[in-house]
Amino acid sequence: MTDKTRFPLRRGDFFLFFIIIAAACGIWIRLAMLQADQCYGEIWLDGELYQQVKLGDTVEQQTIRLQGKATEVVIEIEGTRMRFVESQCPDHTCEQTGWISRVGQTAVCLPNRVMIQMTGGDTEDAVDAVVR
Amino acid sequence: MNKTKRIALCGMLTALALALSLVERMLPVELLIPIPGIKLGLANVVTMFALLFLTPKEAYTILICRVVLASLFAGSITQLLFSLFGGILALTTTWLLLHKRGTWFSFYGISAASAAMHNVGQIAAAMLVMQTTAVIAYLPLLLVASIPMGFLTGAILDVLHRHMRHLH
Repeated sequence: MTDKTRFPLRRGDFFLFFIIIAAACGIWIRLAMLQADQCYGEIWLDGELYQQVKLGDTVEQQTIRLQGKATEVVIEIEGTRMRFVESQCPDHTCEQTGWISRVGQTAVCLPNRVMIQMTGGDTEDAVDAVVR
Repeated sequence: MNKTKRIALCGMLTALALALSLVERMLPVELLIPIPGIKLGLANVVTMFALLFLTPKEAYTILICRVVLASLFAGSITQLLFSLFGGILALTTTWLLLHKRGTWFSFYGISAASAAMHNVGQIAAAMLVMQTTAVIAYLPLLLVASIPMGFLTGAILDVLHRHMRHLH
């Protein structure tokens, strides 16, 4: 082989180093960006996590329909906030709660056993589990 | 080399890798780079050596024996899983890159890439086991650290290879 050459490194080595450094920078920048606006809207149905939606300024308006314990519930998500739009239940407390937009806020529809919640911020907590 | 000799050599290499992985546990690398469980990767020198002078099959066998025994002696099941994931990924990377050694890559680059893939494998295993993506925050620093670590193991391999060639 070409071991006679004095300089031990080959051209490909620098390519490998570059890839490693680039990957490190890429992940680091991505993480820094995520940390800035990491915030999730969670929908809980009867004590179990039904859906988790990432929230942020770039998130488009969407509505989620789900079958609660009693009737159908409609939840709206828009940017960094979410709310109950409609519930067929008798008391409509959840609709009156209105928009929730801060981490830790919740809105609950008791007859349907549906709860929406904002989580995020402290990424060290176990809350940001893997969504499948 | 006959079969008995090969088996004996594999056993000795496994023992050497085990000893090295225990020795490097005593080195306070964590003081320099503050990441839990960061290592020099000296034991990887042995598996890479096996890849060079024995067959890939034997290298993988030595790796698996070393990882299982090391976590039996001083470790846990999760650690076994992390090491196995990282080790196999690192060895496969080394094996692939070794085909182009001399023309494209040297031991230094191959070792660094191997160390990097070892870290990637470990973090991937951690993500699977702990069901969280939070551990990925360790990855950038680990990747950067894999370059100096790779240089160290690469230098050892370079010297070793130069001397061993005359014995073969």
